[in-house]
Order: sequence, then structure tokens, then C-alpha cells
Amino acid sequence: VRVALLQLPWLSIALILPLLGALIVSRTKELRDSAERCLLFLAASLLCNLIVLAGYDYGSQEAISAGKTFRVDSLSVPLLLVNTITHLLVGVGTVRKAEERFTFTALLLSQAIVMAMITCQNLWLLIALLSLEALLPVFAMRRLGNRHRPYFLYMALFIGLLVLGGAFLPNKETWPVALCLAALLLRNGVFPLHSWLAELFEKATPGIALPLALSFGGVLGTIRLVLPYAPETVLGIAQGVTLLTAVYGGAMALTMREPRRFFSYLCMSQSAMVLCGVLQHSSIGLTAALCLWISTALSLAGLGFVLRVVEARFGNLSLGVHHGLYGHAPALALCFLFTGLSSINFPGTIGFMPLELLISGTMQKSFGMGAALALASMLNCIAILRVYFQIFTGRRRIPFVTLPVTQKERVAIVLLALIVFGGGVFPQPGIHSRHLAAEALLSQRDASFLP
Amino acid sequence: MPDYSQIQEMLGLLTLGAPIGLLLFFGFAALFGKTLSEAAISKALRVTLVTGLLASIGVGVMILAARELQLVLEVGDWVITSHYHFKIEFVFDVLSLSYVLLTYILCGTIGAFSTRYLHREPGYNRFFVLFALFLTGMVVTALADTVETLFVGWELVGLASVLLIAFFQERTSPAQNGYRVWIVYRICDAALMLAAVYMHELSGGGDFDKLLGDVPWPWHAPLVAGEHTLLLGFLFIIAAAGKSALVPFSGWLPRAMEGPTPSSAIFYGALSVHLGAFLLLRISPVIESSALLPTVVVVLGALTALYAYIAGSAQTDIKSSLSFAALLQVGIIIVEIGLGFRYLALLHLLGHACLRTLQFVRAPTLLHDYHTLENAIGMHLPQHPGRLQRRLSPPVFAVLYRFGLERGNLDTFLSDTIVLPWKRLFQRLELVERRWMDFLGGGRPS
Repeated sequence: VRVALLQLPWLSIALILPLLGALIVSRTKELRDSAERCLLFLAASLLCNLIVLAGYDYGSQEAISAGKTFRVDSLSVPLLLVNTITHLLVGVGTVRKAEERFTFTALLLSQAIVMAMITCQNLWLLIALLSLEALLPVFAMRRLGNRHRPYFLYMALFIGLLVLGGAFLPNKETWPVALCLAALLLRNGVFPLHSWLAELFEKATPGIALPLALSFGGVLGTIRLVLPYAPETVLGIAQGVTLLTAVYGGAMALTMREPRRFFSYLCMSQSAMVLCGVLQHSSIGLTAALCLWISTALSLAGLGFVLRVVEARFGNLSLGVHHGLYGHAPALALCFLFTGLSSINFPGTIGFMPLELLISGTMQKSFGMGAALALASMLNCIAILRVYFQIFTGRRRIPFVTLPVTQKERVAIVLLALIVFGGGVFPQPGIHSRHLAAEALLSQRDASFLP
Repeated sequence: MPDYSQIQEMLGLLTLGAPIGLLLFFGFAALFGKTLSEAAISKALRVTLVTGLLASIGVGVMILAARELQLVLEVGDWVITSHYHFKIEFVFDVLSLSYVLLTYILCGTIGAFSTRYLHREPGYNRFFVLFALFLTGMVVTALADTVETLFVGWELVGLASVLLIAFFQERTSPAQNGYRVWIVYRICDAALMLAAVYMHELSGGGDFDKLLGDVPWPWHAPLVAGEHTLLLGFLFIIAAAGKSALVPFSGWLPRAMEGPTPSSAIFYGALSVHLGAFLLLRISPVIESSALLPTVVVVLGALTALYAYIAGSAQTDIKSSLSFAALLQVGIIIVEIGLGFRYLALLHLLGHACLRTLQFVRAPTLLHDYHTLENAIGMHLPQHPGRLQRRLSPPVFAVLYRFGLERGNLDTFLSDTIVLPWKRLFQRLELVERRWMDFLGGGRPS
């Protein structure tokens, strides 16, 4: 029975389920039903991805295919799972408000697009999916009646550069790959092309902004489109820019007065660290980046979930004053603390080992670059505790709404704790699998540079 | 029947595992929203501390009986790839056993004190979760035989300390002070992290014996020397300076007194404040590998002692006075380390930690006794001018008094010269970003 079950086309089912879900949810009239169905489809998608993961053999690294276009390899297997979990967390944290109706459909659409992006093997389809994912929030901003032009301009530039560069790939010349890299740096929110990220979090609902920020489309695109073809000098320059971004994002996160903007800069800094590891294109750096990708996505999704739940109960909070929410929701405070510390790779959490590896790999190139990473990590860490103190300490407020965490939220918090600390205490399986994926990617790069 | 070395290892694991078990017990209860009763917390604490203390005494006795000088406990590999090897390894030697015994004895004393002192206090459970976190961090740091393991424990101690400073969280000032301390801790932790990675690169692993040789403490001598150890030494000194509140990071120590008295006693009077000295003792051969590093250590220690003496003489509350008195002794211990007196520094550290803990715990009742005495005699207790006041001319004394009262304006100096300019710069940059987006939005403000 087990063999028969594993032989079912789980990958195809996992790819189709969110699309089907989006269609059904968009036609559902009741808001409560939309939310329930969205979560149901995301949970089913998670189950399918778990089966795909169980069926993948890391030893032989034999790919699981769905047609000729979609394929799961050592890189993409855990990413499917991670993305489903991040979408599920966003779904659980999304409140049932009238303006959020579109969020449930968009969430399932985003899940479908990201899964297709991760598994897609066709260059043009990947470019199309990256573009589609980037444009999805524009519709949401329009529906909310918010300003969307600046965001649209940035994304138009992203798509333009990507299409222009992609049209000439693969190429012995440097400029097509440089164009693609510029586009993907923009998509990753690299300084000075990052302002769209804060705008996105301000103008779209977190239910729309979070999946886009946490899908790490820029990192994925860099691995698929740039890493195999880019020369050393291009990668070196880009790595310097990502380091600057990591520090800049950390410093900005430290001074923000709104939780959404704080979160956007934290995302910017952390994703720049991931990209920095990819651009290092060494075995240790790439292994670290692939591990960090997973840990950062999960931790930031958890942190975003807490901020979302807090916002749902108390509205937009200013980080200029203390709100004293610990007494009302200690579980949320605890969750904020461990997901926040995990997102900045605190010891004992899932991100600690990857950061050590990343700094080690970077320091092999230059001590100063390693120090810049440590500085960025330090700034992010200070920023996290600052926000914790602002939100959860201070004079207790008189509640107007039900404050304790719901049953679903409690389950999400416990699962997050298990992932964050489980991955921190037993990092070896994860690091080993990412090491294999990194070696495979580096072999591809070496092969593409052969005469 | 387990043999001698297996019993030794089991006791070693018990020393290490006891606080981890306590942390898991308290942590899971907090995660599932279960409030443990005061009796259950007290019992769990007692069992853990007695187990850990007896196990560590057992390890010490067995090491001495076997005429060995250290026991290395290899727990396993945390991460192993073709480029990176991260071992979980602990060492029981004179230094680590002394510190771990001190930890268990003082945590036992303060644990017993706290269960009564914090009776019916809101946040009783939270205090003991953080207490367990601190205990775990201290034991891991003390026993660590790899720099990465030490870093893990070091960070846990820092986090627990900061959250305990902000324990009375319905007031904003404990949170603000906790945040200030966190900033200093993060600076020194970043230096320690860099030191850990750099040491890994330098000696091919994070094990102390790869850097210091496979000889028990205190007879280590560095295997790697030259300009590399100079940089490594400086990074370790920055880390130690932050944790032990040496100049110019001394401003955080009186701020840390916002926490409950038991945590002030154990963290800032006894264990946490000495961690910097402990780190310098652990890597003392690296410090002594060049002429410059010991000089820096001695100067830092002496400056700290001088600063603490002047500032401590002008304080008007008992906890601040005690914190500066502790800092004065820490400064002297650091000088001793810089001069190469490793055993003397260790003995000084152990004695001072015990004395200061008892002083901190006695402080609230001492004030009560003073009040009783003053009520009985119907006037304030007579105050005599101190030695400093008698020997210095009034203008010089006034300058020093102002310096001491303002704690040397160290915090203000760091804040005005480093923090505020950067904060203003990034706030302006945010404004520029907002204007740029408004411009792209066709002048429609956000």
C-alpha cells in the first residue's frame, strides 16, 4: 500500500491543489467559509509536500518530476515544505475582515505560483512566474484603494531587466547575466533598490506582503538564472552590495516606529544575508545560504504571524511607546521572543549554525566582510528586543476584545517552537541535505564554465 | 557494571543535564500555557540544584582520586560537513569545576531565597523560567571546551540577564534599562562570535585544545602565535569587557539593578559579572602570547577599578554602591589576569562572588535594620567623611564627587557620540525614502 501510495503523482497534486483552492475560495460568498477552505487547501498541500519529501531519496538525488517542466531536486524538496508552512502561518494569522476576503484567494494563488517557481525547469516560465508573483500585490493594493504606483514602477523595472537579460541567456557575454542579477537584486530588496519593500508592507495587507517577502524569489532566481553563468567579478560586487544591505536594513529596523516597516527592514537585512551566501559561490557559503533561507523564512513567518495576530487585536501599534501587552497574551510574547531570536539566528535556534557557517565562509574571503555580517546580525538582534520591549512591556492596557490566543494560534505557536528549537538542537540532517544541494549547484556552475 | 571512566562521564553528563532538564520542564509548561504551582517549582529547583551540585562534586572527587587533572567529555558532533566541524565537548578541569561548583552553590542559595522572596509575586513562574535559562547558560559556559559551545552558554546568560532586568515589566524603566544592557551585550557578543569563527579558521576547529594545546589549565601555552593571536586576543578582550562591565562599558552595571534583588545578587554581584574574567582566564595563554595584550588587560582592569571606586563612593542607594564595589573587585581580578596570576585571580573571583552575593541578599534587611536603629535613637546615624574626602582638597573632591555621582557620564558620552548621530542619520534616510516614494507616487503622500 505504501509503494502504491508513493507512486501517486503527489507533486502534480501538490501543484494543482492551491490553484483549485483559489478558484473555489474566490467563488465562496461567506467570509468564514473562505477562511476555512483556504486553510483546508493549504493543509492538504502541506500533506502532499510531506509525502513528496518522504519519497525523495537524498542518496541517489534522483529528481521527482511532474511532466517535463516541473521537477523536484535536492534544492527544492525542503523549500516546497517551507513555503507551504509560511503560507499556512499567514493563513492562520489572517483575520476575517471584509477587506481580507481577497487575501485568502491571493494566498492560495501565491502558494501555487511559488511552488511552480521552485520546481520549474524552464527559463521563460520561471521569469513569467517571478513576474506574476511580483505583480499580485498590485491587484491587492488597487482593491484596497491604496497607492500602488511606486511599487508598480519598481516591479516593472524588475520585470523589464529580467526579460531583457533572460532573452540572451545563456551567453558568454557578461551583460545579460548582469542585467538578470540587477533585476533579482531589486526583487530581493537590495540597497538602494529596496524602497518598494516597506511600501509593500504599508500599502498591502500583511496577508499579501508576507508571502512575497518570504518566498525569496530573488534568491531562487539568482540560483537558477545567475549562479550558473555569472563571472567572479560580478558575483563579488553583488556580494559587497548585499553586505551593505544587511547592515543598512538592520540599522533601519532599529529606528522604525511602525511594526510593519520594522518587519520590512528586518526581512531586507535577513534576505540580504541569504543572498550574500549564495553569491559567495563556495561550498560552505552556499550550504550556509540554503540553510539560512529555510530558517529565515520559517522564523520570519512566525514573527510576522505574531505581529499579525497582535495587530488584529490592537490595531496598528506605534513602536514609540510601551504597550504592555505581555499580561494579556503571554503566549504571544513568548512566541515573538523565540521566533524573533530565531530570525536573527540566536544560539539554540534553527538559524544559529547557518549563520556561523556563513560568517566562517565569508571570513575565508575577508575578515572585514565577516565582521560586516556580525554587525548586521548584532543590529537585527538589538532591533528584535527593542520591539519586544515596546510591545510587551509597560503599563497594562484595558482590553476591549478577546485577548487570549485561540486554539489554532496555540497549535501554530507550539509547532513553530518545535521547528525553531528542533532545528537548533539537531541541525545536522538539515545542513547535510543543504550541503548536498550546494555541491550539486556548484557542479552545475563548474559544468557551465567548461570550454 | 559501569567502569570508573563511565561513572565519571555519567556524572559529567548529569552535571550538564540537570539544568537543561529544568529548563525543558519550565519551558514546556510556559509554552503550553500551564502555570506551575510555587511548590512544584520549588521542588523541581531543589532536585535539580542538589543533583547538579552532587554530580559536579562527584566528578571533582573522581578526577582527584584518579590523579588526573582534567576530564574531557565528548558529547558528539553538532555539525559535520567537509568544510566545517562543530563538536559538542565539555571539560572538567580546575577552572571549569571551580566555576560550576560556584554556580551550583550560589544558584542553590539564591534559588532557596527567591522561592520565599518572590512568594505570590506576579511573574513568579517567569522568574524561574529565566532562572533555569541562566543556570543552563552558566553551566554550559563554565564547562565548554569549544569556543562555539561557550558562545551558546554565553548568549543564554545574556538573554536571561536582560529579561530579568526587565522583570517588573509594568514599569517602563526596567525595560529601558534592560534594552540598554542588551545593546552592550550584543556588541560584546558580536566580538565573541567573530572570535569564535576566527579561531575556527586559525586553528582548524573551535576546540580550545587546538589553540591552547592538550595540556590542562593553567599550564596551557598557545599553539598558534603572531599577529593572528593579537587580533583574536583583542576580540576576546572586547567580549570580556562587555560582559564584565569594564571601561568603557561600565554604564550598564547600575542599570542592571532594576531587576529583583535575587537576580541582581546572583548575576551582577556574583556570576554573570565575572564571566568576562572567566573567559580571559580560559584563554589566558592567548593573552600572554604578546606583550601588548596583557598591557591592554592591565590598563582596562586598573581603569575600571579606579572608575568603580570613584563612582561607587558617590552612590546614594545600596544596590548601586554594591554594584560598583563588585566592579572594583572585578577590575582588580582583571589586573591579576593581565599580570599572569591565574590561580590568584581564580581564588579572588570565587571569594568575591560568594561575599558579594551575601551582601546583595542582605541589603534590603540591612536598610530595614538601619531604619529601626534610627527610629530608636531618634536621629540619623552619624556620618563621617571618607578617606578620599579627608585627603583631597575641596575643589578636587567636588570635581571627583560630581564625576562619581554622574557615573563618569559614560552612558551619556556613548549615547551622544555614537548612538544619537547614527540614529539621526537613519531617521533622515527614512524620511528621504518616504519622499522618494511620494515622488514616484505622483506627489500622493503615503
